[in-house]
Amino acid sequence: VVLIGESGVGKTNLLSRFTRNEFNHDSRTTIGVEFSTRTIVVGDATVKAQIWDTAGLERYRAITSAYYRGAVGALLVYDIAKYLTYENAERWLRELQQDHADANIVIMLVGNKSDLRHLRAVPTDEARSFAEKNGLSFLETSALDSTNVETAFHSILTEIYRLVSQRQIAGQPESEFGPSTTIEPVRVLPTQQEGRQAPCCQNI
Amino acid sequence: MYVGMQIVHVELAEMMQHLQEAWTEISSMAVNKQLASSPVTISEKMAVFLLSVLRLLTFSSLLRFLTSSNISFKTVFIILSLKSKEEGKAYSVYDEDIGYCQGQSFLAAVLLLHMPEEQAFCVFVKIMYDYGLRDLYRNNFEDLHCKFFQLEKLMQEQLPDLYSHFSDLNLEAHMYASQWFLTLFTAKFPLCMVFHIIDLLLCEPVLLTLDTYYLLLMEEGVPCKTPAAKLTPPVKKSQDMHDERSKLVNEYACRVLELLGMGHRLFVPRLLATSKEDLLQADFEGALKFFRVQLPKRYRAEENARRLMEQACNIKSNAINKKSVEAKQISPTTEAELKASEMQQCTLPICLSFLEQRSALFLLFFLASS
Repeated sequence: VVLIGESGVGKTNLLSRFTRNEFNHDSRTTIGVEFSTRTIVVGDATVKAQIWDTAGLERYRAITSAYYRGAVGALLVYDIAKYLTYENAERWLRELQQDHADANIVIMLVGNKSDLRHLRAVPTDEARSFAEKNGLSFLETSALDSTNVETAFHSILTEIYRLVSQRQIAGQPESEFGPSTTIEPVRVLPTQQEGRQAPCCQNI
Repeated sequence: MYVGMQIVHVELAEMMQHLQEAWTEISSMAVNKQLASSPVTISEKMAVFLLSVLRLLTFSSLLRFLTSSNISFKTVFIILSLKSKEEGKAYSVYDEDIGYCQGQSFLAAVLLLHMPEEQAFCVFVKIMYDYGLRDLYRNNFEDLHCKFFQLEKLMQEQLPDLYSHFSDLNLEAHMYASQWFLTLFTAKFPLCMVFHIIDLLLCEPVLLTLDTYYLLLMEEGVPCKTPAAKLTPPVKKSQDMHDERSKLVNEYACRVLELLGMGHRLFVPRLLATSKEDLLQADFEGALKFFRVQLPKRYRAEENARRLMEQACNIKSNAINKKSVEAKQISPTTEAELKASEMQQCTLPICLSFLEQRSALFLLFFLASS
């Protein structure tokens, strides 16, 4: 899974909250990519998630886009208090789909920093309808107070697991997921199924 | 600034006291979630204050203070990189081609610890342009990828077991080394080691005056599997020599980093070699975690950092000595070359003694004023 999105939206803290249950106020900028893992239980299976946290700055795209190719899932993160980071989500999505060999990548739109209620600049409904239109799932999270962080990662990992096991049942060879391996495209259900709504954390 | 002005007049011991108080305040803020909504403004204010204190301390007293008072080096980095965002912005205006890059602030912070802003800026520009750091950021990181390739080739040659282990794991250089190269090792490693590295880097201008052709020979020679033909002088005629020379000067700027210990040629393999045993045991995740956590931790002990730098320097001098021998044997040495080689041999010890005395600080100021 790759974490993508504009610089400063909280990708690194989302990941550290999920993998180590840590939050760092003075988190430093990511240069290139960083890597973390966590093992979770999905149904009766144990899934080990390898998550690549990428640098958000435009310049580093040349380095980070290499990691899109091996990804089976992506969390496209924006900051609910900064409209521009949401506006650019569309560009991120396009790039992800362009650079990505596997059309079946599971993508979730994540509005982070939901604790900043008084500074909200992106209406939940607007983001949700954008996600629906593009066949993405959608959640608002807060890495700071942990809201929905678990849910977000669990739901994307469950979805990925479901797709991968379908692939295996269909007798397709199991792909090895890594940044430098190419994944064979396989046919799965239409993407609308992936766009299923998860409960939102905010009720404004 | 009010606080800063006041500080100038207080004694060193009092400054320490202030610093200690500021630190306590900051750490309590981080714990206190009620203040969480405005952490940045508070930290920035504190950063200005702390920076004004830190600037007045000498280097060794700062180190002594930090080691005696539980302030992690990381904290100092955080504080400084906040402040140095301004520095990054200033540079982005200066160099529109490259612009602001996250990561530059780490190096800027290291420089700001040593000197006032204008000088730090000058040295920063110098490192970007004359030391080839700028080239790493250009053309979609082409140079950087070239370095990764070279690093992997070099590992294959010098650390074959580690190389094949990494190949088995599908662990590629860009997964762990981007940050090292782009920030000149300033992002993850503890300050004591970072200072050593930057010292090493800044000692090199002494060698900049030497004959570039000679240096090219050295570069070709490392790690000494180059056919003899490559070591013969490229051009004899004076006019051609001039053209060749200017070309070499240009090329040379990009090579400075790798030539003399800073780049991957000597330093990174050394860094990997010291951790070889741990890395050979590790799986994919383990290795990446090792790079992220254990490796920087190991060099928090100044002794370890010092030993690593010594080893890197030793390889350097060996390589250079070997090169001068080869040069004499293969090419009929001209007087100029001989002179260069003599100069070479005498400047290196000077560099090393600079390192030992940590007086590269002097060079920093020298650079800034030139």
